Amino acid sequence: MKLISCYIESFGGLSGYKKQFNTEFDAFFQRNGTGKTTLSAFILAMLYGMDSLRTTDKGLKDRARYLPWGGGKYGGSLTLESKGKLYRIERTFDSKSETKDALTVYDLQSGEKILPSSSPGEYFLGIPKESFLATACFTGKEQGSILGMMPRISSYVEGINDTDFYDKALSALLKASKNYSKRNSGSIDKCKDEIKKCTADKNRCISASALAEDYQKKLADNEKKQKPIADRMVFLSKHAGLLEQKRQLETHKEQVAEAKGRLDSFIEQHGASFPSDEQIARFDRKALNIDAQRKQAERSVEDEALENALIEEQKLYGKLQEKQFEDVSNDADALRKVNADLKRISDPGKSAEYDALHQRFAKDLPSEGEIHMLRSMENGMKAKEIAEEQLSKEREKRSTSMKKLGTGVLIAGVLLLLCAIVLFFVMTVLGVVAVAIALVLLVIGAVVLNQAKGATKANAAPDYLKEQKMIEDRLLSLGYKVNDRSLFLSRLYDDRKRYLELKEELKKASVEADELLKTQQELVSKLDSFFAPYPLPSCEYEKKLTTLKSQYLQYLQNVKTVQNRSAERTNAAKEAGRMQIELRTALLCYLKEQHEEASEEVLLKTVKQYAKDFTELSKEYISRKADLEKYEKSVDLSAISEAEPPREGEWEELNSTLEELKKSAADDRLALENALEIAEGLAEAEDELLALEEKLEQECDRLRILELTSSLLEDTHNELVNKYTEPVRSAYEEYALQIDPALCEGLKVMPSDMSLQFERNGELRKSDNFNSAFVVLSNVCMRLAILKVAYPEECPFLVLDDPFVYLDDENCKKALEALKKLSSDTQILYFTCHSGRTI
Amino acid sequence: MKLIHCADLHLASALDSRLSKEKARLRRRELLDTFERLAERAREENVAAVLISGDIFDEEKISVSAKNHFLKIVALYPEVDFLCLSGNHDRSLSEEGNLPENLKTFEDQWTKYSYGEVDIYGIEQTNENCALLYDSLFTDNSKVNLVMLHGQTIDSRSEPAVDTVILPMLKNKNIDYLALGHIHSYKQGRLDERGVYCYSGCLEGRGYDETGKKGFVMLDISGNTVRSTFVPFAKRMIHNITVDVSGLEDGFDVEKKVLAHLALLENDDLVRVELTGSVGSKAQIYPEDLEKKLKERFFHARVKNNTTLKIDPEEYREEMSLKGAFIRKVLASDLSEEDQARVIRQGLRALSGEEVEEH
Repeated sequence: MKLISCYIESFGGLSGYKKQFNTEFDAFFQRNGTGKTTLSAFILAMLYGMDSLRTTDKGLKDRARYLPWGGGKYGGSLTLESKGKLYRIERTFDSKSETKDALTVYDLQSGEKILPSSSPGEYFLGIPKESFLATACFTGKEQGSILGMMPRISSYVEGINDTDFYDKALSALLKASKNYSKRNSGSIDKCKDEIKKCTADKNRCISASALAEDYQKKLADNEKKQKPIADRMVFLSKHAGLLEQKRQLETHKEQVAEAKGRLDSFIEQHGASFPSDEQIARFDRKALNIDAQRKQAERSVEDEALENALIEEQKLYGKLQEKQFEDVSNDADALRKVNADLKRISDPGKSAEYDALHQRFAKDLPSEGEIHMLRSMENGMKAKEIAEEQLSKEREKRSTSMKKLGTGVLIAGVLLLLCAIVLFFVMTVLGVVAVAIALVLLVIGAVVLNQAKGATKANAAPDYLKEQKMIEDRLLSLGYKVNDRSLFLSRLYDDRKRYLELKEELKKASVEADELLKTQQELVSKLDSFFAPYPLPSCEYEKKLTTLKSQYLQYLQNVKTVQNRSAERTNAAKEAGRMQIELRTALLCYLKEQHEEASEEVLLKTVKQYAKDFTELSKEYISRKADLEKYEKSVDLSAISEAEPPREGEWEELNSTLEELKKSAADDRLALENALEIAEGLAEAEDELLALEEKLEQECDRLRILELTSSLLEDTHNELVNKYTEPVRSAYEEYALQIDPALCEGLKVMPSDMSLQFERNGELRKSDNFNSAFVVLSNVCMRLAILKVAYPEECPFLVLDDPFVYLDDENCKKALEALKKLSSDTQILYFTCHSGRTI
Repeated sequence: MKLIHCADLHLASALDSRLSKEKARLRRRELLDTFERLAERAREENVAAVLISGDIFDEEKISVSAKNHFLKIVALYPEVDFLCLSGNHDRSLSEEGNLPENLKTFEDQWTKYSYGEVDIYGIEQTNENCALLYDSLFTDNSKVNLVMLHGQTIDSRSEPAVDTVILPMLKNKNIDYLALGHIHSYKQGRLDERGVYCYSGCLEGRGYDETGKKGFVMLDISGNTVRSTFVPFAKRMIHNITVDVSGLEDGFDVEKKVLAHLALLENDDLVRVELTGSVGSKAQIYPEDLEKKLKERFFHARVKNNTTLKIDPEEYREEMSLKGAFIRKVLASDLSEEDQARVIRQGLRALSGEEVEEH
């Protein structure tokens, strides 16, 4: 791409500025402040625009810096050639914001507008502003950088655009590999350690298993050694046993002989005939019966008491007869009857009634006639009373009407008086008259009322009242409280009559009572004398009689009882005697010795004892004999003679040896158990080992793959990079040789960032390590080389703003000459303010 | 009369299924429990004898506790005889002492046990007798003859060896049923016109190479006829399931497909899942995560990722990127296909910033 011309409308200090560019080497010498930098800034602005101003900007930005000093349209145009075509960029800038900038790109051949999606610089050059500044546009003050050029280079060389991920990818692969391969802490080494441990475990299990087998063999040998010793010991104990058995046999024989001797001795002494147990039981029963009979024949304490009591009873009841009871019963009945009669006669009710009446009438008994008179008077009084009542009513009536009249007259009088008083003031005369009349009326009214009052008063004492009083007095004198005269008069009559009746009755009763009392006394006396001797409770005679009867019956019963008991005793004694003789006879048969004097108890006891002794002795003998026979059968003493007799102390020796062997066996058994326990883990250990070995194999394989992957990836990347580092290096050399061959000595282009390093004294050194001139020149050559490689077909123009300030004249000359040569391929815009640094 | 034929119990053996310690212990216990269930079944069915054709244990050195447990089980069922032949993995029980009365062993010469009209022959194969045993077997034609042997069958006449059973040399020996051990899966075939040979297989699978139904063979003998029926008896079955996840990119989809394949399996079982097929470079397949999920459901699970990477080299021939260059480089290398797929997968994940660790 080449710049053809530009027109600056207004841009910084330049205004209405035109320039035609030399398409090869355009050296632009201007003193300071004349617009060199402004021109290069204009070119940059036309291609890439300018950033908007922000309030946070620090320092002066280009947009502000290059505001037209004299005003005018901020902008201009730039004509360029790219790939054989002419284009014009027309651009105006806003004073502040790029969004307000205006941009138009024309295809000058077709006349059409081009609307690039990016800035014209990117559109035509294919690189961003930073990359442009870093390569195609530089000053001697700045170091170049090819980093931004890498995509361009890559895409041009091989079209590769993912090399950015390479570092991370490789790092990840290496990190993953390290996880496996790291010494000691990596998973492979860990796995190997575990395998070692597991193998050791397995070997331990196998060893334990082998050890277990050894112990088993040892135990088997031990058992083999123990057997003869144990057998010999068994034999020895057997031998001792046999001897013991022999001794036991002799003992048994002796015992049998002794038992026989005792039995024979007994038989000799007491004979061999003794009653059986059954017979002895019969004898016992008989003896018991004899005792029982004897006891029965004895007078017991109860018998004695009964007899004694009977004697006393006899004294009391001995003379009593049945007939006496009958007589006494009759007497008691008679007495009861007499008492009943007496009771009947002395009716307390009647007596009390008679006493009350007697008290009333004893001193003053009114005659029948008197009572009749009083009753007549009463009747007459009643009639009078009624008439009096009627009269009284009439009188009352009259009084009431008189009262009314009197009251009316009084009221009239009062009214008239009032009127009169009023009239008196109107008409004195009339008033006086009225007053007089009122007074008269008042008097009349008072009189009438007075009369009415008097009329109600009855006669103070009507006649019949006297009679009434008389009757009442009479009743009172007889002790009657008078409320109703008629009633009490009637009662008086009845009471009198009753009094007289009672009096008569009582009189009769009194006579009868005397007789009855007499009879009563006689009967009581009789009964008392009958019952007196007997111990009877105080009660009625009937009860006494009953009690006595029962006592008598009891007495008779007791007599019978005593008699029966006596008979029983006699019989029992007889029976006892008989049985005794029987028993004695029977027992004496069994006794050899003479025992006539002994009692049957003694005889029985003796017989029993002898029988028992005989039985025991016989049993003992039989038992001993049976034991002997049994023992003789159970032992085989013939073995004694075959046996090798034991030595002295042989048993202890053997026992000690056996104990040692057993102890050793116990220890071995324990060890065997432990070994077996460990050996049991063999299957598990093998399982684990298999698993670990597979895991190790897997991890080694994974590591292998990781290493392969990282190696191949690295190789691929290096190959790719080497594909364009070589052209860059080659191009650099081409340029550098033209300036100074020293610039190529020991040259190495780093593929990662395309930086330059030079080998000096066996060491690679960066270009910064060299002098300024070297740095600048190598930088220039590098940029040129990159541009050449990045733009193989059409290299963009170069803008060099006094790049050789740090070079001495000789180097500067060389550099300029090199630039001149290069300009045949690349348009170079060279700005300088040094006159000596132009071509 | 009924008999049971089983073999290859491998009690107290190491388990080749990568179980955890606890589960391995449990599984070993289950081997014993299954044997005990078999003994109980024998009693229930009034079986006269249980024929165990070898490899009762797993090592020359028998685990004492396993041995004791086995002997206790045998002693617990005195009404059933246990005829025990040793195999290539264990030594003869006849060397042990204090054996229960109902446990019958064999010698290095033909030993016969008779049960009415049924004769059962067996021999402990040794280097010394393996050549002579075929000629020294004499049976009664009138009886029902069962022969117990342990080894790999060989169909053609060849040099006899320990742990081999040369079938042609056992023909026409009046054998009605050849009860074999050594192969851990049920297999039956015709021996000759008269009889059959049969591997009962093991009672329980111990590793992922012992998949399918495991159990014993019930023999029902009536008259001269031997009727054999395979009875699946294992507590757990072991499965090897292959799931093609071609085209699936998402881990969730892969999981879903795998679970669909396993839907009908019992939760008590052991499952190994092999992922196969061709997947893209961006496929999110994490076998460890899937394995963890399956372990929640099954007694044990393993997942192996055997998928191949679906890469068309032509697709990357022109791709101008580090990725493209990398893939081309790998494909051009002399690594195996599997390694290439793994390297590419890993490299692409690394370049994408994803986790690079394989699972």
